[in-house]
Amino acid sequence: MQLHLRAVTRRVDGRRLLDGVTLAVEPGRTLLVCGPNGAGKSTLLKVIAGLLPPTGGEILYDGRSATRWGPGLRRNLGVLLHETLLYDELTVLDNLLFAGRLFGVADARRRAEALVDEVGLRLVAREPAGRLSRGMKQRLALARALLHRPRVLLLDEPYAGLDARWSGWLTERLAAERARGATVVLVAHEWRTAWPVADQAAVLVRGRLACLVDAARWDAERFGAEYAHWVAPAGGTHVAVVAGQDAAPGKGSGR
Amino acid sequence: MNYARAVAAIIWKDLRLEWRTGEAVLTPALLAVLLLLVIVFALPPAVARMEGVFTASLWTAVFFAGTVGLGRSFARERAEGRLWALLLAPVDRSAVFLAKGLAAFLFLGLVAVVTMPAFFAVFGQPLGAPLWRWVATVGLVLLAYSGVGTLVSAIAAQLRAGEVLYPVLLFPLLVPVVLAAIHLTDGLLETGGWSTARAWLQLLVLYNLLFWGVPYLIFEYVVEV
Repeated sequence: MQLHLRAVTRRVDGRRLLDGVTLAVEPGRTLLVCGPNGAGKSTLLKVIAGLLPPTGGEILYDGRSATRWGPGLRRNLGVLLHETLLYDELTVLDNLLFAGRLFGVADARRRAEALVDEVGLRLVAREPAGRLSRGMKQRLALARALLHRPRVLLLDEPYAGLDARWSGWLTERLAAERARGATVVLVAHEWRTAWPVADQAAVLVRGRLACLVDAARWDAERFGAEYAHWVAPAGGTHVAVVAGQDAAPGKGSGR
Repeated sequence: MNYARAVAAIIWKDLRLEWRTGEAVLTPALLAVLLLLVIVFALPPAVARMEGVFTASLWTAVFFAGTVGLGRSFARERAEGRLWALLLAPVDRSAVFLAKGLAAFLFLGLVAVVTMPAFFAVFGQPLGAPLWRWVATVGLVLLAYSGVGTLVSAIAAQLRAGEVLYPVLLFPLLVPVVLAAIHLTDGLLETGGWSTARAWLQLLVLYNLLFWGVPYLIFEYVVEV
């Protein structure tokens, strides 16, 4: 599913949380969104998911405005937020069954059982989610986002709380999702962990897109070196925003 | 079909949560019984037998106890971003209101089933009317209570001190329901029917239409941040 943002803006009490963000992600591609604290990364993800309304601009899925899609659009979205979206009092399995029923997954129980195994929570499947560790909760939240086989994955800090083994699993899982044609938008403050899965990388600074690069043509070292310029308070913002045409401060067209 | 499935899923989830926490039935029912004891000990026997005291005591206990569970309806969804999860369901967002309201109605019904017989027994009050009329009257009152209670709970959940403000926001809106409940109950006890309180019955039906119909239409904006 193609995702296209056209000049998406969100203002709250006169503050611009997002300011004219324009970008596109093709099916089977992963966009990594990074930036400093308070840059608007999580807000961007919630706006794309339809949880917060944009105050300007437009979000298009497969060329069709999100508002025209109606509620059915949400069937295509798998969302992981900073919050776990889990019920601590329900068991691991019940949390997944509830999500499955809410999304009308035909084989909800079978799917939930399979995901419990995949994320390594079989031994605690009948334990309340509140008893899980932070990393286990993150795996359960990821399973919840993947349960209904969404065509668009919107993931806020998916690597948070995961150890090396489960970070590796997530990287493999995201590659598999990409291979089946899912569009992935991944927000990560610590972008290096997520770099291997990225096709594009965007840097968001104070709600504005500072740059959008083709990750395949940039290695992590080069991106890291430039990242410091982009997020610097005095400069580097609002440089080129052209997918496929690599841009660094001073090289691109200003907005 | 998807809509009904989503409503059923949320009710199923609330039932599972209730089974594990007892917040919406057990705690309010216990509170109502404690209120009954306080009333019984506080009132002199002669006053307790006076006309109107039974009705006022009964509904005071049910309405106050009910706020404990109703107030948690959406407050519980606020933690861990659970409301986001409900709003991501691929159905019209009014389904969330409908499901939460119906679950609240179910829970209030269970509270009434537990506590009302205790009030009748302790006050030595005969039914005075066919059981079906009582069920219909209490059902209509609790339906109105759960409709407005769920709406106010959704609004309060968006506020910083929502749980504290909840009863303050709710009770002014509940006044017509309380009055209707008292008049209809008195009517049942005195005449065995609704003939003396027909206007209150009509008011209750209108109130139900208003507080189930309007939130159904505006719920998307109520939960919008």
